[in-house]
Amino acid sequence: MSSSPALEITGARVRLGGSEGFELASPDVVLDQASAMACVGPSGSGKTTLVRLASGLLRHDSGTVRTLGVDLAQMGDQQIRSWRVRHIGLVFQDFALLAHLSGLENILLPFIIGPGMRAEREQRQRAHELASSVEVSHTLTRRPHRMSHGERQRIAICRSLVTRPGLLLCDEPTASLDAHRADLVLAAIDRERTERGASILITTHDHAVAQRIGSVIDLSPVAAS
Amino acid sequence: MRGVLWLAWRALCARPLVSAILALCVGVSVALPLTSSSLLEKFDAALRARAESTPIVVGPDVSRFDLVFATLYFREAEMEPVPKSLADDASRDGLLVIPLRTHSTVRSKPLVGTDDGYYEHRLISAAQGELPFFLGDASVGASAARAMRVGVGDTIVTDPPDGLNLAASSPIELRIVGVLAPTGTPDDDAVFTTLPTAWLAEGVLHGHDDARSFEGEEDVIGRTDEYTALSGAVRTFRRIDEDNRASFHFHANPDELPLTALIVVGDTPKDETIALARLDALRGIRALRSGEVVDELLLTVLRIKSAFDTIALLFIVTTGALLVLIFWLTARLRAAETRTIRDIGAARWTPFLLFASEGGMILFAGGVLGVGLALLGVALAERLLIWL
Repeated sequence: MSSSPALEITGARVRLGGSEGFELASPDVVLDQASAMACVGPSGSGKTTLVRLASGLLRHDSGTVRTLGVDLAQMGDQQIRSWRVRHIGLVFQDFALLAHLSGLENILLPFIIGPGMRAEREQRQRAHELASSVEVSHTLTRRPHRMSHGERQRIAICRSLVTRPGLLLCDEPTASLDAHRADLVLAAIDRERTERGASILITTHDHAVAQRIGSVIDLSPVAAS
Repeated sequence: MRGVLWLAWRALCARPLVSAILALCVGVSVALPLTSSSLLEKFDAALRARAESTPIVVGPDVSRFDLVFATLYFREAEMEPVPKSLADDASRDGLLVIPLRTHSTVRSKPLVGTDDGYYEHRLISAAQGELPFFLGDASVGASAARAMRVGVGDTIVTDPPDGLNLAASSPIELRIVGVLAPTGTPDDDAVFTTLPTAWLAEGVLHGHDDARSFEGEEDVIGRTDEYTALSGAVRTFRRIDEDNRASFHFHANPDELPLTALIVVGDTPKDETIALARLDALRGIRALRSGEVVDELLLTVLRIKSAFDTIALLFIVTTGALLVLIFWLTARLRAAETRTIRDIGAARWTPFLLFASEGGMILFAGGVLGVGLALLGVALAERLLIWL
């Protein structure tokens, strides 16, 4: 597993919308371990689909998707869920925080719902460190409705990092942040890569952010053609 | 599973008012049938016990229910009295005959005039003080004493018989000589006196200064060497004490003194059957077995209970359907939360377990609340039974 890429998508196609839907082809992607890649493109260009394919949230109909050395087509539904909560960090476009949990509880959510996982002292300590690194320590006891948009986004990023995932998949992680906060978030994400060797795939519509990540896949129609 | 339970608990805590209302709905749905069943059982047992200890009731020829409830529960009813001579007649066959007079009230509590046979038959004893013996003495039931906040040595005044009738007898002051031990029966909520005191309270018996001492025309309407006829304007004593006790008297035929009803107890069922037949044949008199009347009443109550049970069942079904609807709508409103939990990697059934756990906690809390309410209802029902 150590020598294989963190993410390898080859000729993957997925049918969306049932029998009367349409087929979507994913770009071929090879993301090496401990490296970062940005995926840019306008809305509807397939960025989110790419993230969902890579995490196993969307099952491909043809082609190959290997994530962290695992061929996702070979895994059952329950197996893939259990694997995802342990090895994949996900940042959703809408943050997807649970409204009735505090900031800290939201960060620790993977340990609460993950099969066989528990939030011990060490995980709490890590949650606090992550919150501190993106300047949201003051929101740990608040519920999401008492956080700003940016604070919710950073809590969501902390949640994706708390399990020390091997692959971090971020869907527009800096979309609503000012320059300073965006820098903090990108630095925290990059620290996971440099310190732990995590691989990172970020989708963004902001080319400036994409340039800072490293390698870039451009899904805009002109670039794709 | 522990995490799911914790999440469910947090979700309920985040909406305390909604959770409390849901639990309350469940609680009431549980409590209503439990309480009604328990109340009915106690009602049934209390009625039967009272009826069994009062085998035959004799009184005026009125409604069976009026007669039985006036005798067993001292309930006020428009009933003509029966003459005291009926008691003497009834006791002719060696039966235990207990006379009752329940015409007056004290602070809305029934004033029950009777004799020692009543206390012996009902096994009533005084917790404090003694049973009434002299004119003007009263012994108060345990609940009545608590409600009126009175004890031995205090005085109570009978309620005016008719506030609009100026010629009616005046209220009299009674001295409390005892507080009865609680029995869990209507006796607890009554005030007991001797029969003469009950007659005094309704104006049949009265006391005043020596007739010879009256001089004025407004007080004296006629005088002979032997008798002095006093007018209704003469003031009668309202308080009985050592000095005036001997002056109390009545002008009626002693056989005609009014009684509300008689309780008749025979040594054997055969004695009672014979007495029942003989007394019921008397003109203007009704004699009946209180147990039969109570059975008849309970049959009606059972029919009402079955109707009530149907309503309670409908109520439970409606509450259940509403709960399902609420949880279904909640699940739709919380679709994003469900998606997040699934996407992060929870097991497929986790969202279902989450909502089921929330529902289970609501049902559990509602059930506990319901049982608590039912216990409270049953405790209150015991008081209610005394009131009934």
